[in-house]
Amino acid sequence: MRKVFGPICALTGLMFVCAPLLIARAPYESTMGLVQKIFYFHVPSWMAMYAAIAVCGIASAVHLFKNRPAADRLAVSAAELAVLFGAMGLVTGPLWGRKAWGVWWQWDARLTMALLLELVFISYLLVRSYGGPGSDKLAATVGLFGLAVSPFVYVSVNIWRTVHPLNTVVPTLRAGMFGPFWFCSVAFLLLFTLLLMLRTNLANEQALLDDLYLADEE
Amino acid sequence: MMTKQSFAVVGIVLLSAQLFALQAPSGQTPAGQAPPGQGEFLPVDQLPPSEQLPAAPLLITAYAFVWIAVFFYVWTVWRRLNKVEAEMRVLEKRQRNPR
Amino acid sequence: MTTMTPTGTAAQAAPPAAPRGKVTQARVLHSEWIKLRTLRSTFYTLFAAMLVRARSRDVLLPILLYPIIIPVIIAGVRGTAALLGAEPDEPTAIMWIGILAAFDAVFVTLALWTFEPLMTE
Repeated sequence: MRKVFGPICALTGLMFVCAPLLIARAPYESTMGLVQKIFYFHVPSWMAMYAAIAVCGIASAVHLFKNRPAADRLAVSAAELAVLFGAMGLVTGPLWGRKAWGVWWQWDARLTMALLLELVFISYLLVRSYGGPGSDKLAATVGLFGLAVSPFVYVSVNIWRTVHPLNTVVPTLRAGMFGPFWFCSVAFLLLFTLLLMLRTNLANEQALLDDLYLADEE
Repeated sequence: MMTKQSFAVVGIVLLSAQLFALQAPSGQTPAGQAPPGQGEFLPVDQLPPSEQLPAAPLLITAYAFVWIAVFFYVWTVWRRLNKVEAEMRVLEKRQRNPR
Repeated sequence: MTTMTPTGTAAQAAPPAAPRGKVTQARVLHSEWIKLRTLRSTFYTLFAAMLVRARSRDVLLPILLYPIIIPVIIAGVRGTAALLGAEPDEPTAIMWIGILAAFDAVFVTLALWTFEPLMTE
C-alpha cells in the first residue's frame, strides 16, 4: 500500500494546485456571484466526509462482528477524517451562507442534521479516548450508527423545505461549472485516500509499539 | 480617614459622570453635520453595491480554512508518528542491550 | 439521564401505523406511548448497557446519545404539535410519523443486531 502513496501524493498536490485556476475560470452564478465559488470546495468536503463515514461504518461493522483489529484501526482513522472534512464543510458552508442567505446559520433540517452527524463522529473519538478498555467495540457501534444516520442527512433537503440548496443542483450543473466541480471532487477524494493511508500507517505503528511493549514485559 | 477618602473618591466619580452625561448629546452632533429628523422611510428592493457585504473576504477565508485544516491535521499525524517511532527506537535499544 | 424503560421494549418495537379518521385524545396518547416505548428506549438501553463497563460512563452517555436521539425528539415534538393544533394538521403529522417510522426501522434493527456482539466479549 505504501508504494502507491508517492504517486497519489504527487497527483493530489498537482490537482490542488490546478484547482484554483479552474475555479477562477468558472462562470459566476446568476444570483450569488463570487461567493458561490465556495461551492467547489464545500460540496467536495462533504463528499469526502461521506466517504470517510462509509469507510468508518463498514470497518466498524467488520470489527464489531468479526473482531479484526485491522478493521478497528481503519475505522478510527476514517472517523478522524470524517471529523476533519465535516469541520471543513461546516465552516465553508456558513461563510457562503452569510453572503447568500444573510445569516451564518439556521436551524433547518439539513444544517442541523449535518451538525449532528459531525457530533456523532466527535463522540466516536471521545469514546475511544476516554472510554477505557473495551472502548473500541463501543466506538464501533457509534460509527455504525453514524453510518445509519448519514442517508437521512442526504435526503433531508428533499423532504423538508430548507434554506439549503437542493440535491438537484449537482446533476444539473452546466458546462462551465461541471468541469471544475468534478475535478475538485476527485481531488478531495484523492486527498481523503492519502490522509487515510497516512493515518492508518500511524495506527499500525502504534499497534506495533503496543506489541513490542507486551513482548518486552514477557 | 479611610471613609473620608472613599467619600471623596465616590464624590469625584459621581461628579465626573454627571459632567460626561451632560456633554454626551452635544458631543455626538458636531455643528452642521446632523441631518434633520426623517419624516418617512422609503423602501428599496436591492441594496446599492456599496452597501452590500463583500464576497471576497468570505471566499478567501473559506479556502484558507480548508488548506490550514489539512496541513494542521497532517502536522498532528506527523507529530504522533515521530513520538511512536522514538518510543520504538528506545524499546529496540533496550531489547538489544541488557539481554 | 436515568429514564430507562424496562427491558423487552426492543422486542415490542413496531413501526407506528399512519393515523386514519379523527384525531382523538386517546389516539394521541397512544401514539405518544408508542414513540416512547419503541425508539428512544432501544437506543437508551443499548447505549446505557454498553457503557456500563466503560470508564467515565456518566459523561459519555449523553455525548453518545444526544446526536442520535435529537432527530427523533424533533420528529416527536413536531408531530405532536401538528396534531394538537387548533385544527389537527394530519398531513404534517403523517410526514413526521413517517420519519419516525424510518428511523425506527433503521435503528431498532441496528440496535438489536449490535447488542449481542457488544455485550458478549
